[in-house]
Amino acid sequence: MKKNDFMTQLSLNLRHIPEVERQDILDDMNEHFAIGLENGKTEEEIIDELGTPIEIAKEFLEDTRFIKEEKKRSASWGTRSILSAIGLLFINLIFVVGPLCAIIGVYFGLCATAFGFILSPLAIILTFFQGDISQFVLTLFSSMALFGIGILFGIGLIKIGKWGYFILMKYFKFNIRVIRGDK
Amino acid sequence: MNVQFKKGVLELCVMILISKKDQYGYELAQNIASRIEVAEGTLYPLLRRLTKEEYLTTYLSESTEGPPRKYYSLTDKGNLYMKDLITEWHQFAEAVNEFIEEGVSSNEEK
Repeated sequence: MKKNDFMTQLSLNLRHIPEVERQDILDDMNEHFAIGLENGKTEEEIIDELGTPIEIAKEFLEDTRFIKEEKKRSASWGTRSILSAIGLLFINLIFVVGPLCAIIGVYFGLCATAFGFILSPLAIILTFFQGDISQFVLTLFSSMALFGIGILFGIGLIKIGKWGYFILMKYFKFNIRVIRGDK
Repeated sequence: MNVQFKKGVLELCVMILISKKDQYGYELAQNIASRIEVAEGTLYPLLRRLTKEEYLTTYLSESTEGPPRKYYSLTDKGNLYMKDLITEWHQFAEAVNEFIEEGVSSNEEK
């Protein structure tokens, strides 16, 4: 490949960059070629060191796109994020807060039940002092059963609690992302 | 060498070279390429970006032979940025070295 082919290909691949800037890039490349030739290199050697026009153009395009997006994002931050914050506030108030409170209420209710079951062996002590043997044996076995159920119940609830917390955090982060305008 | 590695570090190397002495594109490309394997052409997008972000400025200077050359020079802002990058690099390199040493020694134990 000769210099002319290189420059044509580069220019073609930079066609989406504004004219002034593209010309500036091509000038830089021309300068590079001129100095390389002065130093006794051939056009082919210089191109070999430069890399392919497509590779170089890709870097330029990535940079311009990156800078544009940065600007776009910082400019639109204000009004858009306020609007999405207000929108989310209403959606959360109407659709999320109610069911969430109900679920949390039920959850703590179940937790209290499990806790009660676990504490039920205390009843053994109470009935022991009452002196009624049949009552005592009945309480002994039933409270042992309740204790077992309570433990299993509790383990299940802890798992569900962790999972619920995880989901809630995800939702929370999703809200923040929407407000910040990230994708 | 890994392309992603190089991208970030090249920026730093370019600024360090320019901080020692103002240089034109070709000179800089040769100085970098003599020590790091890189497609010289990809330095130009990098130089342009650093200039846009005001870490570098450019000026034209006549040369004894051929056309005037575009020199790159480090701005005060660029100097601060370079120093930040150097600190970051040291911390980063140190951490990576620790990982490597731990990895190597635990592999030897096996």
